[in-house]
Amino acid sequence: MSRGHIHVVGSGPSGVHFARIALARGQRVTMLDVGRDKPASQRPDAGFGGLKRELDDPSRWFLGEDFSSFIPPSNDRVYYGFPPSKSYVFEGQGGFPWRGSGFAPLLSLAAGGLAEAWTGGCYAYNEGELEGWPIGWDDLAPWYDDVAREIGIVGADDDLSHHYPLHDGLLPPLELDPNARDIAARYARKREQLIARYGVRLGYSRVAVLSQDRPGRSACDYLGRCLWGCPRGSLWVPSLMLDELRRHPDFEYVPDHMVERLLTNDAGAVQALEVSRGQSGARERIAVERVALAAGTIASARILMRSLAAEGAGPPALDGLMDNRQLLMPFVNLHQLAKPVPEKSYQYHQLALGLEGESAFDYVHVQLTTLTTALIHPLVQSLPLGLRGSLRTFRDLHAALGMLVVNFSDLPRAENRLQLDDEGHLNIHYEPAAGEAGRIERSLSVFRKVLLRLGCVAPPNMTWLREMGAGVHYAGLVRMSEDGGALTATPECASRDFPNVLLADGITFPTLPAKNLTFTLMANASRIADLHCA
Amino acid sequence: MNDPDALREEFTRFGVWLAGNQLAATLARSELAAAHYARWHTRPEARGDRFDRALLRIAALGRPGLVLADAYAARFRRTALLRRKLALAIALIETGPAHEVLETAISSSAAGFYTRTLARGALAIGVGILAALAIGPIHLACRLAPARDESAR
Repeated sequence: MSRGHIHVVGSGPSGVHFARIALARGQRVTMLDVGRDKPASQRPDAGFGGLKRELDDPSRWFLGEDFSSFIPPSNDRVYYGFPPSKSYVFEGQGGFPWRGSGFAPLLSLAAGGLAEAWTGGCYAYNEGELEGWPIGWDDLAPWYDDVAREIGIVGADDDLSHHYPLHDGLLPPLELDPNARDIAARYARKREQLIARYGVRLGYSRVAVLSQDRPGRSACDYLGRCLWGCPRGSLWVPSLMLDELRRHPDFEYVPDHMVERLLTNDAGAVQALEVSRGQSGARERIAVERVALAAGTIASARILMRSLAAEGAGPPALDGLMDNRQLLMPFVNLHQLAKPVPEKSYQYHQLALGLEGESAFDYVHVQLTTLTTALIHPLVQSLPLGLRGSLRTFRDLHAALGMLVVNFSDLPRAENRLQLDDEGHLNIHYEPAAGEAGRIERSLSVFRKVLLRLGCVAPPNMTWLREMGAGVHYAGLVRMSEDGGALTATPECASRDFPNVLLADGITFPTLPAKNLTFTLMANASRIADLHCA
Repeated sequence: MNDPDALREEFTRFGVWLAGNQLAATLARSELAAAHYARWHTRPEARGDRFDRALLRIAALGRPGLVLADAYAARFRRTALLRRKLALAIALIETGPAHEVLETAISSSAAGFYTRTLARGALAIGVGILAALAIGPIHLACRLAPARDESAR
């Protein structure tokens, strides 16, 4: 293809990787984005405790000007407050009105999108998980390699390689903290029994963080600030790549532009984008040759639905919305009671667990975190004693605490849909699959037993089944298929409704395996950029 | 009670009770944290109902009152304004220079932890019963009071 010009909508993981490959293939790229900036890092060399000692007003920084991260006792189970330093990621909630029924999405207008607040999980889908997709492992494998080399992913060839295909660019894992080290050692002694009896394997998490320095980014220094925003660029976030892209002569970043809809010519090809700008919402038209939508599944769906509605192309609705049902299961490692809390440790998932299912798609994906630098007051008040007794008990428990973050797969179903109403609201409806409760309970029963064998106890009644939408792994709605009609995409993720529009985010995923989808988002966006820009 | 000086004194009192006497001097000097504590009280969630006010008056009677009020709220009123204030005090201590106190284990071994937890549990049951006997009727009276007012009209 001759040198062309492509407009990329959105700067999340899909958008920046699509743009990276398109530029490498000689295209000119303009990225349209709302692009809220993150605040500057405070004291980049200070550890978590150091911030509390060195900042002029640490309580304001940690709890927020408006106390948004102070979690007062409530009847809901809330174990942590979102850091004020990351609140910019969710401010504005997507910038459009929506109503959820059975689904509460998180949306972002930040430069880098929702992944600015991700926990870095990078797990390749295997051949079994790609069943039902019009593409296979061979299509994605080179791009998993490429993305991993580009962003840096720590991990190891261990028992979890049974579930996680190996790829290039795997860096040595980070050091485990004492709690995770203890669990890993206990697993090593009982692994055969755990695999044979429960189908559970444990190993290092695969996380987009550096264990070795590379140009412009430093290896993790165990500052304990992951949740609060890594100040060293060790944990990869899309805005790091966006900064690199902005230095490319053929790349233009255009913030403060929210794409509202696609405007077509008589042949049905998109010739311009209607965008709204700033607080005023003033409308503009931007002429385009080709468009890659990478605004995130829900935002991209809204753009398509508004465009189709304006064309008079049937009722503005899309079905098949998916997200990973997520469950949080706190536990106590009985071998770490009354131990000191490590001052320096990596804070997100150091270990992961995989629970074998009847098919690859029934696999249950678990990340294990021993987060010690979350604020403690939400956890203290969840204990059944008075607050003084709870605080004293918690101090002995702190180093022993951990959490299983359990993800379940999802399939597209017609009842889970997005619909635009006459007032322009996006109505999002989701109903869990029949049998979900049983599937969850069976998995939990296994995890309770496995934890016990690892010397850990999951306190009763503290498991938190999060509402749909909290998984923030949205997919489906315009799924890729070999043969399909309107409201589907080709295997190369070209829209079948708009000939010069590529769908570069999770909107085209035909199914949603249990593993975190972001690695596949990045690999697939790179794949389609290569196919369409080569 | 939204008098800033009284709220600052309350923050120190709650903080010391929660985290220990070794914080007394630090918290008394902690103008910034006390100012945040007072500032939170201008927010809607700092408002309480009749029983919240009664519980705070009991908590102001000194250490025994605070022990009973905290124990009662833990069992019968987990969202009480008193618990919100105590949780705020913890949040301000854990995010300030004195945070290390809260990050130090109290027991020196797992056996010590189990012993303390058993003792703490037994104490919680005893204090809980006392608190239910002492504060339960007040709680009931506060719940019935609006109905009585309405029937009087």
